Amino acid sequence: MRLVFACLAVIGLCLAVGPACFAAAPVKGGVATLLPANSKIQFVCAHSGDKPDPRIGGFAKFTGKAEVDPATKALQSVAVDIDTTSLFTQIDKLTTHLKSADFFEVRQYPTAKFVSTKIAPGAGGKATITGQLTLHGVTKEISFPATVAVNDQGLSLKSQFSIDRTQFGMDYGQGKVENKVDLTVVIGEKTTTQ
Amino acid sequence: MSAEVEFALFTVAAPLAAAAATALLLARFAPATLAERYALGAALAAGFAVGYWLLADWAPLVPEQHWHWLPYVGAAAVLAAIGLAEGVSLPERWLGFALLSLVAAWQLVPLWPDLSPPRTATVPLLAGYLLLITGLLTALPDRLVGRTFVALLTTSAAATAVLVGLGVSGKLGQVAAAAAAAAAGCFAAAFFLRNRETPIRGLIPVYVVLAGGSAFAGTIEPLPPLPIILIAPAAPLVLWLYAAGPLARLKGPAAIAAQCITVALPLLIAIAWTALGT
Repeated sequence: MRLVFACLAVIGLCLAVGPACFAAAPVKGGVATLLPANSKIQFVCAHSGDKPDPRIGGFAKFTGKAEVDPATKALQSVAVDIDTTSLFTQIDKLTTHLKSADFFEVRQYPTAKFVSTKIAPGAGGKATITGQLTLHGVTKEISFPATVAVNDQGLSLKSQFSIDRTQFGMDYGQGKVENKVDLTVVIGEKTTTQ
Repeated sequence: MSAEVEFALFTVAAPLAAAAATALLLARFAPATLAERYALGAALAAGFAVGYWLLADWAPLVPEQHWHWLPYVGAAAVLAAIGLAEGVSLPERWLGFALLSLVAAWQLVPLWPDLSPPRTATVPLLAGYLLLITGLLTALPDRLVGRTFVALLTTSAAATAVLVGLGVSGKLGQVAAAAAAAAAGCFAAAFFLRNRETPIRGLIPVYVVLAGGSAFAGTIEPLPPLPIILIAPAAPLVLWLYAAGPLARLKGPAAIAAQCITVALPLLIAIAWTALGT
């Protein structure tokens, strides 16, 4: 049996206005198209115990759209479809293992999906996004904070949150691999696989 | 309970004990002709079913995925021993094996849209793979089909589990390990059986479906696939080197040692290759 395990990932979403370091996703007709060229979905997973040895991964292929109210500049909805077979990490062996039946099971579940159902705006560009996340064939409602900005350059968003992989049927290696997976979703920053 | 203890108890000890108990109970209480033909095959299928049943929720009894059919095709393979009955001709025997292989392949090949080659080609390919191993192993001369042979089947099944676990997935490796443990139970039971050749031949179709099916599930799981895993269940075929020619003249411990080395060699190469390559 393999001794090297790792983690997971998924989706999420949200917003944030891009300070100067972010290049916003262009909004046309109230819709921003989300692609790896202008967005990224990244995860961090770690081993349990004294040596967590966290690893960063992401998805190289996904498509989505974010709807913005042109008048109020408010984010109205976000939807993303992820090609889970495009999962990558910096370690080939880990990538293969994460794609296997132990975790993402990408042959059986080649896509993951997030569809927002509610976006509650807050102060200072903050928002709370709620939606249905489908991962590993399991759909659950998740809710996460995000920072969003819509300006003349387009839409920017940043969100960091965690999910419990076991909630999505990825329960292998408990006690060796942390159940909690940290996710970072950014609109306005391109995906890099290095 | 730690994962290691769970593995030792539920994936190794339980299938092994269940297989050994099934074989001995059938040998003791079933009608002689039935016991002779089906005891070890049924024991292997039962041992594997127990091991599979004891796995966590990710191995459901109601199949949701292709490899969830393994305990069922393993049980169906027990019936293939009917082809070993007296009066069954060689073509009839192979026809029976072909039918079993086709049924097993039909269930074990997934419906993935991106399966390559596509299912229409993969089903006959897998069926051919299972049929060849089953047919050729059952055709080995009697002197090669003894307890050593069962030990070599067990070793090959264990190597399959190592290859799948090492190169693909711990879960699928655990499933394959249950088959290897059940085969070890059959090996233990073989010490107590009389007229071993027939029951051992009855073991072969079940071994091929379980070890070959596990290897196939492991092979197609990663992208790109890992076909080297398919070597492991087929490794006992090298025993044909001992069917005729100079190696056939080896006797006693020398023959056993040579057979073990010959079968172990491709297994070790495959494991080393997989360990270095992943």
